[in-house]
Amino acid sequence: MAKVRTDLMQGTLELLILKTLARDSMHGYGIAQRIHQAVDDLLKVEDGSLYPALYRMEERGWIASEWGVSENNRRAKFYRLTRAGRKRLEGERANWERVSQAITRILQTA
Amino acid sequence: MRALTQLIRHFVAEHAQSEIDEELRLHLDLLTEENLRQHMSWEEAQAHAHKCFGDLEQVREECVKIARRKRPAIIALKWFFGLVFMVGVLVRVFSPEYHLTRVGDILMAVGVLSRLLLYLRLMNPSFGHDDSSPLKLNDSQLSLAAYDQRKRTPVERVIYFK
Repeated sequence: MAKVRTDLMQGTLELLILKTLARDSMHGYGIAQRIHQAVDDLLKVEDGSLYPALYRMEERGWIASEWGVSENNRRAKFYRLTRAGRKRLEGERANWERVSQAITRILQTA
Repeated sequence: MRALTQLIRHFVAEHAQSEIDEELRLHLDLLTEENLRQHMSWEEAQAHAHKCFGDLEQVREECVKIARRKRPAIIALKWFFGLVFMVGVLVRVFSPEYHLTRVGDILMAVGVLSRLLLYLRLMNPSFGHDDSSPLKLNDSQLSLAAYDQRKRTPVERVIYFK
C-alpha cells in the first residue's frame, strides 16, 4: 500500500513518549524502538522527531534526564518521567480517550 | 556584566551543542549497528539509518534552539545568587560594626532564599508555561487547538501511515 504523509495531532508524540517512559528510564534510541514495537509499523514516526519533543518536555518538567552508560557501554542520556510528567500522562490519556470517543461518535453518526 | 552574560551564554551553548551531537550520534550509530545485524553493507546500513532518523540538521537545530532557551538565564541567576550569598558571608565575617553584620545576614538570607526559590521553580517548571492540554475539551465542543499544526515544529509533522 502506498505511504500517505499525514500529520500527528498536536500532543500525540508527547503522549507516546510519556507512556513509553512510564515503565522505566530510557535513552532516545530505546524510546524510539519501544514506540516502533508498540505500534507494530502501523505508524512510523521518524526517530529524529523524538528529540525536539524530548527537549521540550524536559524544559516543561515532564521528564528529567541524566547521562549514564548504555547497554553497549556508550555514554547515553537517559530520560525518566517526573511526578509532573506522570500527572500529565494521566491527564493526556483521559483527554485522548475523550477526543477519540467524540470523533468515533461523530464518524458513526455523520 | 553584559560581557559576562554573553560569555556564560557562549559556554553553555557550546556545552549544550556537544551534548546534543553526542546524543544524536549515538542514536545513528545504534540504528546503523541494528542495520548491520540485518546483513546490510556498511553504506546501506548508514544510509538506512539516516533515512529512519530524518533530517539530522533540522533536528539538531531544533534541539539546540530549545536547549539554549532557558539555560543561560538560569545559570546566570544561580551565579548571581551565589555571589550575593558570598558577599553576605564576607561582610558578616569582616565587618567590625554591628549594623553591617546585619546587612551581611540579610545578604546571606537573600542569596539562600533566592536560590531556594529558583530550585523550587526548576522543580516545578510548568509554572509560567502554557500548560493547557493541546487535546483539551470543554463540555460542548472539541478544541480546535488540537488541530493547529502551525504550532508544531517541522520535524514533528513527519509521520507515515502504511
